[in-house]
Amino acid sequence: MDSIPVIQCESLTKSFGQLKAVDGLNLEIRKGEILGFLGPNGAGKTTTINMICGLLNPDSGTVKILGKDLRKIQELRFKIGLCPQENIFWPKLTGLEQLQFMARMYGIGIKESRVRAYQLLDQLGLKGKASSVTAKWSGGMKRRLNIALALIHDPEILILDEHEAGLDPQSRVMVREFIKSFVPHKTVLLTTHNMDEADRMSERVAVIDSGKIIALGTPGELKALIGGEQQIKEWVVREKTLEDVFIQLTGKKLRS
Amino acid sequence: MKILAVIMKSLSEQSRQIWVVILTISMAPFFVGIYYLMWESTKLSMDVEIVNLDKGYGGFDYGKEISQFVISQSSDELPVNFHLSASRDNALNQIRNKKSDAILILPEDFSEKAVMLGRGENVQIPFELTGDLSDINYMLAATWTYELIGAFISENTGIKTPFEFRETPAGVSGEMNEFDLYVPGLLILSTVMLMFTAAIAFVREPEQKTIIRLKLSQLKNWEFITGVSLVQMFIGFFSILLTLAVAAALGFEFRGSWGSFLIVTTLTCLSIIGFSLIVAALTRTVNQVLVVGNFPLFLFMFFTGAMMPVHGPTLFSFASYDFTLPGLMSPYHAVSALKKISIFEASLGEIWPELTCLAGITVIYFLIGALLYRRQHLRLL
Repeated sequence: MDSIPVIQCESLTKSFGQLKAVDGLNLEIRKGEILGFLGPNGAGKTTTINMICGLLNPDSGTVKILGKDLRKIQELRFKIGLCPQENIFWPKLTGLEQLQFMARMYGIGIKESRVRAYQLLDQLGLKGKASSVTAKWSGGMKRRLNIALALIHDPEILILDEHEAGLDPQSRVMVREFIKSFVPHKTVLLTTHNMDEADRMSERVAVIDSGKIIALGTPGELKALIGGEQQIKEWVVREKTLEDVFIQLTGKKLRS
Repeated sequence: MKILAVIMKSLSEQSRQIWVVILTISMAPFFVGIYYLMWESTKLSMDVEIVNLDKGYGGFDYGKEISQFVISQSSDELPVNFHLSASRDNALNQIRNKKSDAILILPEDFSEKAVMLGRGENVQIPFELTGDLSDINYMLAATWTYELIGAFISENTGIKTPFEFRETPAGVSGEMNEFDLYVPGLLILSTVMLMFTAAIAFVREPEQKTIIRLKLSQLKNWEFITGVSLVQMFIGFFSILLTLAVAAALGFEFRGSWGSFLIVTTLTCLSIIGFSLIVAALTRTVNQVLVVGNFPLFLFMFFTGAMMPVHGPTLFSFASYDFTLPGLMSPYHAVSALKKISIFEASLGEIWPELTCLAGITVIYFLIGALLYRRQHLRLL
């Protein structure tokens, strides 16, 4: 694995009025790595992602993509594929039309667009519905299309913002295998509230709360932070999970 | 060729929400139909009551003769019909009941004065005309009556008026009717309706957040705006052609230059699309477009001459062309230009003030619209 940081956030800060959404965040993601980005609701995950993608302007600090400042070289954002939290697509277009259109928007030729679109639809189990209008698709299919749209231009960096929300177990397994197949060619940043998913998928996990990274390491390292095992009853001892780590680090208080 | 992809996408989307397009393009033809029915049911027609008090003189009964003469003139070509009335009171009742527009009263000594006039004596015949002087139909009926009486007197006495008016129509106005005069404005109205489909097409991307995907892609702002605008231009032309076809089916005949027509309608479509960018920039959802868009729509419909003649206070003049307050709205100049083209067969050189204003306002709308839309919906880092 290459140790050059593909994404580098340095002292990233963003406020919305009085609310400091991201507070001096430092984070490096190496090439070919899958980094789980965990945090409670309102912790600053999506704001950080939007700044990494170039959709939001940081108040201070820098985002570097492949060592270059994103604010100075806007074209760097073409290297990123974003699968946002919400399903974002054109409901009046068919699955094939959506993917072909987005491919064209990244400067890919007509023929190549069609090949890539069919390939992704096939890989994500959507080929059978390629020619139907997506407004009529099921929630799970729309979610998979959301992932396909992020990948249509073959980006070096894939950012998945709660991409498993709304997927059934079969789809989840399929999508996980699909994403794992990118390693080591692509760098993946994923946010999720599913600790099991983060544990299975991520090589490293960063926990963010109140706009700051409060823990960073491999799932094993994080579990070790709070002790490896938990005695539930006299005769039952289980290994601590990432969820235990998460609750210990961020507390049990409900977030907005 | 990202623009081509935007065009294809926009066309696919428009074709799958065909009801919005149908409503947009059918509005102006619908108004053409309404105006035609209004014109058909309110064709200019006036009635004049004749009260003949003439007692005759020396075997002559000119009162009877002139009555028969004017009544015989009533035909489809004349907008005035004459009827004999038994008394002044009867005739006044007809006026009060709006069944007649004017009364011509022939005096008791009409024949006597006519005979004296024929002998060359210096007398005047005191006709009396009465009616509701505030009614425009009275004025028109009185003018026609004056004209016909003059013709009768001249023919029977041999006395010619010292002057002769010759009426020559300006342009092709003599061959046109009131309906024909409304059609140029309604053609422009068909482009005004474009404001909704265009604003909806622009605002739908931010509303469904697909603008995020476009912002992250290599698509440039101008490519996106151009692609969407070209599809809207296509809808605009289709709407104009449909309106023109409906008007032609109802008897309208376009007599001006098609080249000038194309330039005026193209500029108008562009200016409306530019304005729709402003509407899209000030709104965030399709629902907001439908609410906010109504205000400029009413202004464009009723204060630009598209549906009814209007002439506001003059702000400044150039080349004998008044730039009025309604002139801040592009359709005003388009209606003016199209009327000149279709009524006066004006060439491009004769409508250059309108074209200059139209082009200038189009550029202003587009600049403001593009800047606001970019600031509101397309801004990146």
